[in-house]
Amino acid sequence: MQKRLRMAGIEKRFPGVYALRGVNLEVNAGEVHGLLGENGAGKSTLMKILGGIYPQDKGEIFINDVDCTVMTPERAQALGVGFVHQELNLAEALNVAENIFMGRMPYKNKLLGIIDYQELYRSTQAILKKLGSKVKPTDIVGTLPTAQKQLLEIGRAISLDAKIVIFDEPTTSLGNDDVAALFKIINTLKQDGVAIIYISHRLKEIFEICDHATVLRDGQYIGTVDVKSVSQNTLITMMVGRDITELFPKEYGNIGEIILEIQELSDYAGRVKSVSFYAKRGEIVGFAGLVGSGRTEIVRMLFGADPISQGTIKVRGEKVTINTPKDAINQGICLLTEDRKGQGLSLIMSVAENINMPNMQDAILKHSKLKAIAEKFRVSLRIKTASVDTAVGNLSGGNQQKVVLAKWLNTASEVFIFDEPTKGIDVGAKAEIYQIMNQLVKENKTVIMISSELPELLGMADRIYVMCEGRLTGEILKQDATQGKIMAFATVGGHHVEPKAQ
Amino acid sequence: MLNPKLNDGSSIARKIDSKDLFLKYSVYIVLVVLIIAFSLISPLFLSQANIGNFFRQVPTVGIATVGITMLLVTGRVDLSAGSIAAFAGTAAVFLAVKGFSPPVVILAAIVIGMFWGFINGFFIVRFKLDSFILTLGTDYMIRGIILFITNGIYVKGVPDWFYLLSNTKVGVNFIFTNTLVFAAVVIALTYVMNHTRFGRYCYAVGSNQEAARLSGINIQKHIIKVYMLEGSLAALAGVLLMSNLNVGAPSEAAGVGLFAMAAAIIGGAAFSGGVGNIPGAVVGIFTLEIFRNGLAILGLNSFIQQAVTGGIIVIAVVVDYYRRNR
Repeated sequence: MQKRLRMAGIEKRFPGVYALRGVNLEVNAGEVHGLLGENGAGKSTLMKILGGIYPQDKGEIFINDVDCTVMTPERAQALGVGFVHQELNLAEALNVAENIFMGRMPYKNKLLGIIDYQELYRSTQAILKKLGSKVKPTDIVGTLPTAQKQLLEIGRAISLDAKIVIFDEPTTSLGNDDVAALFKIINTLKQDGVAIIYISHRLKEIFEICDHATVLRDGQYIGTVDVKSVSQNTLITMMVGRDITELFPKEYGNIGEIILEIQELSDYAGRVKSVSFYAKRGEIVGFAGLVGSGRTEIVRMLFGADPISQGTIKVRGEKVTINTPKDAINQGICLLTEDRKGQGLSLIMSVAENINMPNMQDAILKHSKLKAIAEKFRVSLRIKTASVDTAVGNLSGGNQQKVVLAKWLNTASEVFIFDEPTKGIDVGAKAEIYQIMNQLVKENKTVIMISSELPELLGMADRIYVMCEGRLTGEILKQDATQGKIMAFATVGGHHVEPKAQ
Repeated sequence: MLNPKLNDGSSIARKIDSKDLFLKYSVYIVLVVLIIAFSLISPLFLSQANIGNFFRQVPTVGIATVGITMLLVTGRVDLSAGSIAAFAGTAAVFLAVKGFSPPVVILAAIVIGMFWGFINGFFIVRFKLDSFILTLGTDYMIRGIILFITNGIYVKGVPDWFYLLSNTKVGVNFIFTNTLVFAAVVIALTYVMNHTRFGRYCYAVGSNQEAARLSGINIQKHIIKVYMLEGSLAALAGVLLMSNLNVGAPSEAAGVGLFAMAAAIIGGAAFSGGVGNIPGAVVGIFTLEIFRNGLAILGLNSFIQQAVTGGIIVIAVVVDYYRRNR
C-alpha cells in the first residue's frame, strides 16, 4: 500500500510548554487511521500542523513521498488535505450547493462574479449522489437536520478532491442510524483510495471503522497499533497511561422513596407527548432514544427552561409548579446541559464565578468566601486548573464538565439531570464523572441521565426509559437491559408498545 | 475536544513583552501622552481655569458613561441615554422654576429616568427585542415628547439653588460639586460591579445569557433593573447638565449615549457583552474629553475637532482589536 502521509518527529512548542514532542504519524492510501488521546494530548495541534495552520518547530511532513515540511493552509488544500470539523462551519442561510462550493464557485463571468448556477448545481448533485444523500442542492442549510449538515462538510472535502480527510469527532451529535450512514460514506471514500484520519473518543467506533490507530499522550507519541490485534483495555492504557480496570465503575445506592414523579407531560411543539415517569432516591435513571426523540425536551421542561403545555410534576410527593429554572432549583432539581459551552458555562468568567453563579445568596459578596467554596470543589472534584480565577474557557472538556457539576453541587440540589454527561470527554475524565454519579446516589440523591452512548446507560443506569418520537416506549431494569432491547424500543415507534411507566 | 480557539495559545503562560504591555495599558498610556503633549504645546492646558472647565464638563457625560458601561457589560446598549438626560433635566428645571424644593426636584428627575429605563428594559425583555433597535426608537420618542411639551423652547428662570447644584466650588478652585457627584457615582458603581450579586449578574448575563438563565438567574428582571439604574444615572447627568447650562434645554445632550458608548469601549468594554469595567470607562471618557479640550485650546476649528474626535474613536477600537487578538 502506498504511504499517503508521513509525519515524522513533529515537535511543537508553545511558550512554556511542549504541545508535541517527537510525534510520528503514517497513514496509507485507502486506510482509516484512528488518532487517539485524551483531551490536550495534542491531536488537534498535530492536525493543525498538517493543515498548515501552525508551523511545526521540528519534524518532517511527506505527502505522497513529496517533502511538504513547509506547510501552509493553501498548500494543504492544494495537496488535498480536507477537514470535517466537529463544530460545523456552515452558512445556515445559504443553500447546500453554495455551502459546499463556498469560495470556489464556478463563474460565468469571473470579473463580474456572475455565478454559473447550472454548473454549480450539477457538480453538487454529483457529490450528493456520492454521499448517498437525498438533500437537494437548493435546500437551505438551516432547515436540514444535523446529520445532513455534517454530510455537507464531508461534501466540501470531496469537492476539493481531498486525498487525506480528517474527521474530528464526527459522531458526537449523531444518532446511531446516522453514524451507520457516516461509516458507509467513510468506507466509500476508503475504497476510492482516500487516506482517512479519524479522531474520536468513542473506542467502539475506532474498533468498528479503523484499520490502524496512533495514540498520543501529553504531546508524546505512544505508539501505532493494528486495531484488529489489540484489545480495548490496551488502547485505554496507552491513552491514559494507567490501567482503568472498569470503564463503568457502577456502585449501587440505597434505592428509597420516589422523589420525582411526572405525569402526562407534553410540550407545545409536540416533541414530547404525554410522558409519565418517576425517579427514586439513590437511583440512576437512564433515558435512551435516538437523537431528537424528545429526551432533552423533557428535562428542559422539568428544569423550567422551556414552557410546559400539559402535565403535572410532583417533587417529594407534592405537586409543584415549575415555570423558571429558579423554581426548579428551589425544588432541588438541576440540569447539566448537553451544550456545556453554550448553555452551561460562561467561558470568559472564572471558575470561581461559574461555580457560585446559581448560589449567590448575599447581595454584597464576600469574595474570600466565594473563592473558598470554589477552592473546596477544585480539590474535591480534582478540577485541573491553574487557579479558581482562571477563565473556564481555558479548561479541557472534562474539567469544564466538573465545573458545571460543582455549580450544582454548590446548591441544595437532590435531583441531578445529566444531558449527555460525557459528550466530548476523554476516558479518564469519564470514569471520574461516573464516580461522582456513584457518590451522588450513595448520598440518597437522584441522577437522571440522558445518553446516546448505550454502553454508558447499560453500565451506569439502574433503570432505563426508552423514548421514540416524543413518547415513552419502554422501561427496562438494569438486569434485563441489552442494546438490542433498547434499540427495539427506540426505533419501533410509540404506538406499538404501551408506555410501561406508572 | 477543546475549542480550537482556546486550545493552544491562551491557556499557556505568556512571556510578558513590551508589545503586550503596551496593548494592555494602551488606554492609560495614551491618556498620559495626551496630557503631556497638550501641556507642552500650550501653557493654557494645565491652567486652573482650563482644569476647572474640564472638570465641569466631564461629569455629565461621565455619569452617563458609567451607566452605559454597566449596560454594555450586561450585553445591551442604550441609544436613548441622551434623550433621557434631556427629558429628566428639563423636567427638573421646570419643577424648580415652579418652586418645588431641591429634594423633590432631584428625586422626580431620577424617577423619570427610572421610568424611561423601565420602558426600555420592559420592551426589550418582554418582546425579546434587540436593544440597539428598541432604544433607537425610544431615543426619538423621548426626545420628541420633551420637544413637543416645551415646544423646543428653553425653560428659563432657573432658581439659584439649581445653578449651584453642580457649580459650587469645593475647596480648591477647579473642583465643583458635580465633580464630586461624578466621583461618588464612579466609586459606588465600581463597588456594585465588583462586589455585589447585582454586578456579577451583569457579567454573567452579558457573557452567556442562556447559561445565566439556566443557573436560575431571573435575567428579565435583572435586565429591567439594569436599565432602570442606567436611566436614573442618565437623569442625574441631565440634572447636572442643565444646572451647568443654567437653563432647561430640551434639545441638549444629543448623541450622549453614543459618545458614552465609545468611551466605554475605549476603556475596554466589549460590544458583545461580559467584558468591561467602570475605571476603564472613566479613563475612556477622560481620553476623549481631554482630546476635545486640548484641540479647543489649540484653537482648532470646532468642525474639525469633531472629525478628529471621531478619528480617535476609530483608532481606539482598532487598538482594542489588537488587544483582543493578542
